[in-house]
Parts: sequence; C-alpha cells; structure tokens
Amino acid sequence: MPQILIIEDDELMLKALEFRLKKDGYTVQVAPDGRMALQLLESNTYDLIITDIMIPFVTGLEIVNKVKSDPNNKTPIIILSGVGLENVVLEAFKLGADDYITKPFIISELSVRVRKLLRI
Amino acid sequence: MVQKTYYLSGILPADFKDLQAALPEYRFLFFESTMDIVEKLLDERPDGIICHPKTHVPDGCALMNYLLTSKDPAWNKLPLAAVFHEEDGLEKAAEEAGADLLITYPFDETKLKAQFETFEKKASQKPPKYVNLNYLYDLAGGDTDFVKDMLETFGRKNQEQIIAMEQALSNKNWEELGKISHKAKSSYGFLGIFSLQIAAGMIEKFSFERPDIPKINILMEIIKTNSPYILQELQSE
Repeated sequence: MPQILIIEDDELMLKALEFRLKKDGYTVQVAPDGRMALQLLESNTYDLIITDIMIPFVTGLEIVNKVKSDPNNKTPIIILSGVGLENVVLEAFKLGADDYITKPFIISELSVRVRKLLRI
Repeated sequence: MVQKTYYLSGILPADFKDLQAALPEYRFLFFESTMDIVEKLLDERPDGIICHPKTHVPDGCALMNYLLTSKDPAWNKLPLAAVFHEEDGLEKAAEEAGADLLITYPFDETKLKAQFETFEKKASQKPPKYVNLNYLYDLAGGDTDFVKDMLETFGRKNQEQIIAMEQALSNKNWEELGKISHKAKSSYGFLGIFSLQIAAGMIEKFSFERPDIPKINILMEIIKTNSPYILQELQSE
C-alpha cells in the first residue's frame, strides 16, 4: 500500500488531506512542520510527498530541494499552494517538484493527481 | 443627471463591449478580478456590482456573500447583478448567492435597459448565510464524525488566528500577518466562509505588497464582527 507523507501546518487542511487520502486507501503520515518532516524523511521511505510551501522551521521549497538533490531519491512531490503564490510554485517546479494543487483542493483532482504520480 | 457607475468583473472583453454599447448611459468599470473590486470598495462606493458568479477565486458568488454579510450598509445595500451566458446554467447559483438581477447573454437590449432602470437592492426574504458547508460535506462523504471534528477544529483555531493576526498587526510585523492571513484564507475557503476568505485574502495582499493600516483595520473588523455569526451558524449545523 503506497505510503504518503503530508507536510502541512494548517490543522484543518492537514486533517482534510489525511482523511481523504486514507479514504482512498493510502497509508498516511503527517508532519505539521518542516523540521519534523525532515526527521521523518531521514528514517522512512515514502511513495509520495505532499507539502505546503509556507510551513514552520524548514519551508516547503527547502524540502523539495533536499529531496530532489538526492540522486537516489525518486519520490514524487506535490506542492500545496494557496491562491496568490504562483511565483513560489514556479520556484518549486524549478527545484524539481512534480505537481501542484491549490487550496482548497478539488477532491477528484487530488485523487487523480496522486494516482498519476503513484502510477496506479 | 449623474451617470451611475457599476463595477464589473468576470466577463469577456467582447461581452463587456456589448453591455456598455447597450447601456451607454451607465458607466461600467471593468476589474480583472473580484479581489480588485474588493480593494476598490475600500476607497469608493459604486452604484452597483456586476460579476460572473463563478470566474476567479474567490468568485462572484463569494463577492456577493462578502457584501451581503457586511454590517456596512454602503456595502450590504449595493445592488448586485450576476452576468453569465445562458448555457452556463448559473441562475440558481446566482440567486442563492443573493443577486438582485440576472443578466444572461445573449440579452435583449430593450429588456435589459428596462431592468437597469429599476436595478436596485431587492428586499431580502431571508438573511444571508455566512457559511456554505457543501464542500466539507462532499469531502466527508457521509462521515459525520469527520465533519464534527473539522468544525470543532475551526472553532478553536479561528480565535487563535484572529489573536495572532491582531498581534502581528499591532507589532507591524507584515510578513507574519501576511503568512497568518494566507493560511486563514485557505481555512475560510475550505468551510465556505467567503466573507472572511475575501477579507483574509485582502489582508494578505496588503501585508505582502503595501501595508495600509486603515484598510487592514477595516478588514480585521469584518473578520471579528462576522466570526460570532459564523460560529452560531456552525453550531446549528
């Protein structure tokens, strides 16, 4: 069963994503900030990472950069973005992010984009 | 006779041209987005608003809700028109959002002129709703425990966010205010609290672009004033 890491400090959004992805049948781990995310990434392997950009301690862009700089790490990354951060999303793509979803997310769109990156 | 001015957004340039040509006695000011209208309203008051119900984020329906739930009669008494093409099928959405007039393309010019002459705020049958939980119910797929958890989480977090925003504003910490309002905007959008989604989005814009304390104070007041009504509505869900 694919394992997904969600990195998001907004509690509502985090719960919504966790609920939805578990409902879709995935195993989910959550991190409310970049620091915890890095700790989890050090000790676990994930099939997909979904990360917000504006998160405490270590930003979403730094997470993308860290993961994508490792040639052995092929984990796809979806960026979560609120409206108005289009420039930052572009930055994330330049660093290697694979896709993005705007908040609040369209439920069916989330499912499709996740399945696509997990190649299911 | 003073020319009436209407703020307009969400329609194609060709449609805008048709509308202005059909009604040359009125002045239509075109805005790129609903948020541009929101920003302009902080400085000036038009004679009415015309918007497409579903283009842009936040959309025209959100803009109408923002105005109708305002405690300021300069805003909540503004005549609101929804404009869209007949095939869009947005009559119900526009009426539910509180539009006083529906303009559908293709329009009959004579009929439209007559409608505009009497275009004014309709006496509302019922007070506007502050919350639209359709999205949350859709997401929950029948899981009432999830819905309850989300509403309780919002109730707790909203007050914390408001306090944090006030603190950041008081300290003139614009980056912090921008970050908090950015997060709050998404949460409000999530629960269909469009008035606060717009207010928080505007605070975010001012914080990151050019801090305007009097305007930010107006928007903070909207958030603080509407919050009790929102919590009341959520408790009855």
